[in-house]
Amino acid sequence: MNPELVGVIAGTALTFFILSYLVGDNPLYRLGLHLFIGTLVGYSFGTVLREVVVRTALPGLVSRPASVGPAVLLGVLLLFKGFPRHAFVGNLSMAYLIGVGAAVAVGGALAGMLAAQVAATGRALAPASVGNLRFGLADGVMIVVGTVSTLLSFTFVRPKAQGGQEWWGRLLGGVTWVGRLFLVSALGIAFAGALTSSLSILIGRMQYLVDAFCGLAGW
Amino acid sequence: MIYCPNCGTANRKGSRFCSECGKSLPSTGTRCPMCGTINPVSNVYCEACTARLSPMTSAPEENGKGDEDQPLRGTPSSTVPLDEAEAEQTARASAEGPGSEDWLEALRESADEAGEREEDEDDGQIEESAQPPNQADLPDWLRDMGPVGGERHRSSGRGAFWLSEDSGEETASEEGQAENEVGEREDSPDEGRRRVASGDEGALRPDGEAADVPDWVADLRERTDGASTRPGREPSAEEEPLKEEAEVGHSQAEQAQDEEIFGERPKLEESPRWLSELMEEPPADRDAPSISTEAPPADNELKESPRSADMPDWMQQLRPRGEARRDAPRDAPETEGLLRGLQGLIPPASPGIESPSLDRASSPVVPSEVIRARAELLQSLLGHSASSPRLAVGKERSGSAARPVEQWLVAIVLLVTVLGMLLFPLLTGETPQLTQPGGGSEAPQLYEIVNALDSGDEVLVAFDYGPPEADELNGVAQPVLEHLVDSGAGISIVSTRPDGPPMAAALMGEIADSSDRYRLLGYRPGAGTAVSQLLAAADERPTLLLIVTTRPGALQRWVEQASALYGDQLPVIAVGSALLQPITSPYLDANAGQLRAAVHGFREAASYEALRGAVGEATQRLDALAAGHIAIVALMIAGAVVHGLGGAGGRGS
Repeated sequence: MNPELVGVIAGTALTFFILSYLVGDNPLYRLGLHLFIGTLVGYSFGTVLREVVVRTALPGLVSRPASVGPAVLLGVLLLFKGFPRHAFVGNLSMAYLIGVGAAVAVGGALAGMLAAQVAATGRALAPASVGNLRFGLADGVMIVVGTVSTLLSFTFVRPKAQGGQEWWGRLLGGVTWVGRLFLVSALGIAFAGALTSSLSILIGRMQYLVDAFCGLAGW
Repeated sequence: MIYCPNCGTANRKGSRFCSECGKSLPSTGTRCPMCGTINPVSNVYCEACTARLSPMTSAPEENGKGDEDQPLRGTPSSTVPLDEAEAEQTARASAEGPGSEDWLEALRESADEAGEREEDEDDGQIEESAQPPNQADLPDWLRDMGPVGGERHRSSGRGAFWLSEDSGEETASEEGQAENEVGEREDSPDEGRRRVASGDEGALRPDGEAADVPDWVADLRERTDGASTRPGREPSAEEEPLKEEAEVGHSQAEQAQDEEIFGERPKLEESPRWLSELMEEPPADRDAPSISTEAPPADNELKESPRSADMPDWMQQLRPRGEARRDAPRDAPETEGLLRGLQGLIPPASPGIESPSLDRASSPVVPSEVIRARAELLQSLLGHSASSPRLAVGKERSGSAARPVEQWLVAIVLLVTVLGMLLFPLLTGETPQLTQPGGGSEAPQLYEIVNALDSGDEVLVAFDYGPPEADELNGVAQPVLEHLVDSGAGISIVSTRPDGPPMAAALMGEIADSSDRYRLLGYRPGAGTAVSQLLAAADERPTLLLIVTTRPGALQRWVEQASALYGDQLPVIAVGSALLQPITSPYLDANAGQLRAAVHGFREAASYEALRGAVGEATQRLDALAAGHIAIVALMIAGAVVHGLGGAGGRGS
């Protein structure tokens, strides 16, 4: 039998298994789900084993033991995390991983996102930058107002109105309300994107079934 | 630590006042009768004045040995069983006879001499020598406690001076008989044995008057005796109401049973008067509910309690406080639930030594209406039948029966719409024009960037998606990757997901006619660290970075690390799903410049295909996507209408 045909039949069957969730949780849905997750995990493990151990670690121990050896040692120590009585042995590896990961993430977030976004917001109303925006000054105003009001919307307390300070409370309340409008709009757009993405995946799966059916039918 | 009952502040052990609010703290140790210092319970001597805190229990030794064991002035006489100790010592010495230790012989002789001297001396001499010291020389607390010191020594073997005064002569046989009788009848036989063995004639005298005994001692004796169970005692006039209220008393059969258990009751005429009264005292509260025996004394008892001036401070703190709860309503015993068989309310635990600040805490607990309501609710919940939850589940199931119908309705509508739009070109040969490729997208900018690449440029492609997203992203990324391959630029593909390289290999296998047009660098573990390492360790900086992903986290990692390492020197473009569009918008800002351009979803991918003049998967699926959107909007409107009508009907009904 043609292996491609087997693949098409298996793919079609598994697709219907997953779609059978419409009638509720059933063995066919569970079978398809477990097959998918098991295959994905197994393939990922195999990929890691091949890419990290076979292609990187083992050759590196022979050619560059001074640089690869400590990394391999840390990796071996990390295996002790699987044994509760000796899990402390892997703490050194975990500390190294978390420390390096946090340093890289914080550095990237500060230099690559926070500073750049704050600077972009500050330049939104600059005359030299307004021309680059799609909607000109309106776009810049929208960026500044949206950023400031959204940040202020997370103000959950305000000073008690005393005497002539009532105007400040009203202003803060108005800005907070505008910020919440931006937040709700952003959440609505994100939900629309998720819905569109899910619909796109459904369309792609239906396209696969149509192509498979046409291929089997010889159309 | 001592916790303040007023403010809860933790104070140092031994503190008398709260360091926070200044309120007096409850005493948790033994208060020194000399200086009032609170000492730990285990202390024998006061830490401040070295006064003895615990009573003497052994006889003094000769030759000055054991002077520290001599009773000190100020030792509370009521708590010192000195008479008992001396009596036991004397009895032990007489029992040993010849051959005993010298100091026992001396002690016996001294005891005999003291007895003979007392017999020879007339009453006037005794009274003269027994005169207590001048009251003005005594401290207040000692004056309140009664005779101490020398008087007690003088009455050694015969009880305290203030108890043995005007006492009658009792024979040893009578004492022994009384001891046996009391030992059998008393609920606290140690008390009676101690009194008799110590020769406390005052305790055995037949006509012990209350005037001869300090009030507080008489009250304590009555209180102690009254709390125990003794048959045969007739209640006094003051106790009659209590007796009636407690509804106790022995029947004839019970009395007979008591005699069978305790033996024949001694003759009243052979016993001292006070002992006869004790024996005639009814067994109060034997059969009464536990609440009565645990309750504080009634008001009439409090009125008869000794005055404050008659009691030392340390004993005043032992005085029970609070109101009587004899008239508290007696609830019926619990018949079911966790509290089945229990009756009444649990009284508050009384501390060992109460302080005035704890008066409120020791007040009787009166359940409020709220507490009663909660108790009734708890009782109803405990008594609730187990079948009710099943009924509730059944109702919930019947109420949610429309949910599968809704699911099937939505699924059928979407499937019919999508399949109809996908099958329509196959049936008619024409593509419906429900929508046009996206206008106003970033596709033209991205097309210009890719179109500007030369054959010698190096493009790094990050393939960060897996099989679940392949149905969408393959169609979106295909036109861009085809453009890259056609441009002749070198393509290096890397992924931070284990399942990314096979996705790239499969898609690039469809696009490129040869695998020499691209390089698969494989999987790089470490997420953000791998991205940073990969970008920093590149032998030659890539001309362009293309991110193909559906996950915001992956996009964020690549954009941030590229901006941190190269700033705006490295152009970054992205191809993602429709889900990613709100995430990439801030990076697409012209002032930020972190993303030069991006393509999201089938609509913008179809726009890219239109720029290239080709019809790909994105264009073919665009109509199905548009029809699906229309179907979703229709379902939402229909659902809102049905829900509104159902809600109105439900409110109307």
